[in-house]
Amino acid sequence: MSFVAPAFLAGLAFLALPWLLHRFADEAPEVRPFPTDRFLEAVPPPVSRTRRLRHRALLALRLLALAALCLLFAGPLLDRFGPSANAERLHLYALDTSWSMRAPGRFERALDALRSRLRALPADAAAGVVAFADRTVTLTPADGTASDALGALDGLARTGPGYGRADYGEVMRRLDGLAATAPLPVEAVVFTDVQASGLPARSAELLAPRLTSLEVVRVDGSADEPAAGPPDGPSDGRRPVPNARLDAEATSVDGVGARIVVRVTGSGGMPAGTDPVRRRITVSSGGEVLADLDVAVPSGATLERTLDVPALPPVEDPALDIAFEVPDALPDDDAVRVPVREVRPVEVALGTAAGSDGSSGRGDVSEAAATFLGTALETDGRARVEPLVERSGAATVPAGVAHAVLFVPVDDAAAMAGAVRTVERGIDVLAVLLPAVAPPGTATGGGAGAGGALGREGTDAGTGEGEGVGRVDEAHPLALGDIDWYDVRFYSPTPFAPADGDAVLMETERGAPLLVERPVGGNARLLLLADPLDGEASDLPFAPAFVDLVGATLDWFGASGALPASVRVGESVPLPANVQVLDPDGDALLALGDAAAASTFVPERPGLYRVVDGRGERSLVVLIDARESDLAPMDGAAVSGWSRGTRGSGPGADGGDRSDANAADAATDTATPTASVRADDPSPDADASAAIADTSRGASSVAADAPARLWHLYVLLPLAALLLFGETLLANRRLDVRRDGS
Amino acid sequence: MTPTPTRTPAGSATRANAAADAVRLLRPEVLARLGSLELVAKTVVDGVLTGLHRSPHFGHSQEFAEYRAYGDGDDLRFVDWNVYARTGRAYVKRFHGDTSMQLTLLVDASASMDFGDPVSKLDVARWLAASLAWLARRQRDALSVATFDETLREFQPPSTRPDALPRALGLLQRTVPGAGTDLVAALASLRATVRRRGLVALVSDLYADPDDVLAGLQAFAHAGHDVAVFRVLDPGEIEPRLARTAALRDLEKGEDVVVDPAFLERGYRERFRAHHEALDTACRRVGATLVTVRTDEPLDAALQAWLRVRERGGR
Repeated sequence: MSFVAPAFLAGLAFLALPWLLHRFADEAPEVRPFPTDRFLEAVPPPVSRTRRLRHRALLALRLLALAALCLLFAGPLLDRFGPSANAERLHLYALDTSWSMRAPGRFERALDALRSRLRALPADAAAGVVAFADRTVTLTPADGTASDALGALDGLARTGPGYGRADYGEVMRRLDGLAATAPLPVEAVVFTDVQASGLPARSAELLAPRLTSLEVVRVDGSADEPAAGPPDGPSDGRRPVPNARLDAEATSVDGVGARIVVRVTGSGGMPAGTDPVRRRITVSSGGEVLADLDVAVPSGATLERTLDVPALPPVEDPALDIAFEVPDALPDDDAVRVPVREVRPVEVALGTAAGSDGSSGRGDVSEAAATFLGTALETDGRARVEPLVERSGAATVPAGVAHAVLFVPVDDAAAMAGAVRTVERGIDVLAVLLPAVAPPGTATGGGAGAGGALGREGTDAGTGEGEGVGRVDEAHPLALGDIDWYDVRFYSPTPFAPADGDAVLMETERGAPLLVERPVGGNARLLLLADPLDGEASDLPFAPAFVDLVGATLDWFGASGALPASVRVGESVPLPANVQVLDPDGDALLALGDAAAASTFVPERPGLYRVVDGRGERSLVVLIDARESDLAPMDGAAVSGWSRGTRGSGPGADGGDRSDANAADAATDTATPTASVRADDPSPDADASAAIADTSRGASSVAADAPARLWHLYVLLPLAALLLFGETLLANRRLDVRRDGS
Repeated sequence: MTPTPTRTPAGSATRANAAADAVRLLRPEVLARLGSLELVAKTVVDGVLTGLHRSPHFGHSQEFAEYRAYGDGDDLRFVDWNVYARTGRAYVKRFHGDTSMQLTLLVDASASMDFGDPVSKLDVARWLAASLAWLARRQRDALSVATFDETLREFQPPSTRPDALPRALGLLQRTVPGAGTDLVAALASLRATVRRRGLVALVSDLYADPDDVLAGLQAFAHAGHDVAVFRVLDPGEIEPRLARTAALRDLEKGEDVVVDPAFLERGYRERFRAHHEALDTACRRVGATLVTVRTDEPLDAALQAWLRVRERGGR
């Protein structure tokens, strides 16, 4: 049995108080008024030494009530009702394999402590071991034995910790989930360096109400080291290990020199007055030092400095190695290899989609439309417009250009097909739909006339006022809802019927489609704009909203195949189709079959990854989670509070409702610190959970688990109330107590 | 004498009797809630009269005594005209008790009367005295009230004035428990002030020596007074019980006596019973009846019992 708040057990000492009162109180005999002593005969007053306990029933009620109240507040956590209360336990051991455990001695201490625990158990005792970082991995199933677990530790000792971040909330959810399906009471022990950064945002996430007990074993190795510095350091006298983290990015405007921004973060939790961490940063390429910088970072602070490298090495796609000259306790966050990203405008091809005959279209594209589009695209240097090029007798998008704006006659199916083919080549296309050519003698909306923005008389039912923007899909990543469409009037939008599967993103007040996304397949995107942008069919080219629309379109296009500049270890990265990922050693991570199907990629060690596809080669910097670099430990109160969060009735009890399927989904085998593709790989923890659930030992006690958790509420609370009620009745009767104040 | 029933519808008679019984059986704690002493007295007397079915006349006689020759100033209503017709002389009829009787209430207000739960003996004594006073005024008798403890504390001289009853009730109402008891001294003082013969009603718990009580009452009896003795007792003093050894504090002397519960069960009750019997003997020697009034029993029942005794010829 354990207790949620064992301090309340001290209240049991007050049991002596009622006993003393009943034994020694009321030494003088009770005095009662009487009319006369005429008939009375005095007896010697009673001597207190000869007194025995009086009102024993009342005393018993009071003692029981007091004991029940103390137990109620202490929150006893009985494992099971009935004979299984003393049955064997399942020993679950959680081993921290986060990156901070690579600090000297930590992982070894954790392994030694874990081995000692396992050796202390009988060889056939039920025991399981899980390793956890940002995800939890079952090393040995929970229905295994202590000897099995010992064997599994040898393999883990060889691989060592990974690069993930410790998430104590995740491991507690996992342990609680395992306890929910375990047929035996579960005692858990967590071996960790108790990083403060591993605490979840809500302390309730640390509660695991299904665990019988939880022990947190610190392996940060500073227990015996007295804290240096002023006394306002950590309250438990431990001294954090100093560490500094380096992060950087390099950009180049002209391709010749580079500007490097370095960020150095000092580990927190150091005692006040501790000297700043001093480091020398070197920037090198191919072994040649290009620049260096000295920094001094206070504890817990982040320092950002800029370095200029006037001349980059004359190599294609240069990458720079930026590192501390002298590594500290955790060298993996002391060096980073970053690509030099060139800051240059996006190239956008502009022209008329090729027709079925390979021609460059009708050629009736308004010069004004091209001017409007070119101006909007090149605003703020966002893009550079490139004309289409002739290739095999047809106008095509130049090689290396990922985006295009094509004029497509709405009645020219071949031109539309050409635009679709362009998209299928991986090029994002904004198709500007031109109105159909009216047969001779037939007036169309595109006919010339007075009125409209440029004196064109529109086809707006003869009103000449046009119509504004009606419904806008504000949920679309284009963020069309953020654009001010108030002044934009459409006089004759290009008549256009969306096809099946098209998503109408914007339409006029009368419901005519204005902007449509058409799914084509692949990662490139196709947008259809039902306006010729000639300044006659609408006010759109003159409105500020047009520049915003073009910019939003480019941003959205750019996100289609782009990779983030940097990600954290363990973070899922969306991948374009048909790519290959090269790890920092240059080894391909995707099998041939996976390259086409993989949609995400989870790097599991830091370094410079390369993603190769038809567009070329892009770099991806993978960094260790910055929180893992902060070696500041929790204070003693946080650790003790964490270890008390079992079998409680606090808010964390809800966490137990989380299905194991979800927990299993969150777990992926990270036993080996190699990058793996996280597409549809099955979770080994799901099998482990199933194995636990299928275990027949003590199956009958599983049903009693729910009431057992709250038995002190179900039993002690009514019992205490009953005892107090009985005490009131008995005291009123036996002691003539007037509790109503009369 | 058989009471003549009033002719009333059967249903209403039943309801009236039930209501009368309900009133008559009012428990002391119910009377305590009535608050007004006048209301208590009226309620008790109504109950008494309903139970007796006729008006009591304690001490007032309509028995013929003699004829006296008519003189100037005699009330013509009392001339016996039959005698005048036969003899030609006017004679006036004289009766025993032609003059109103005097009721003297002597109420013990000593500290020992402040005992009892939920109503004290003094409460019941007040109610009893008020009821007797109400009855007396109902038949236009002179009324006198006195309270005493160690001395005669208050005394309201005999009076037949209409305000005699309210004043008597007021005196009783404001009476609070006093100090000790000196029944002999109180009776002696009262004897000196009460000269006209009448009924002397003593209401007390009589925690005094029976011989002293006898001596005090004999003075009244020898002076031609009727004497009625009402002993007000609480069950807690008739049959006291203790769960354990306790100190009993004399309400008058303030002294504690540690008492064994076993003694209260046996010795105390024997002593109490002997004292009560001695008091009863003393009362009989002066021609009085000792009426015990318990604080846990309806007051009108005790009053009725006493009146019935007087009807049968007892005092």
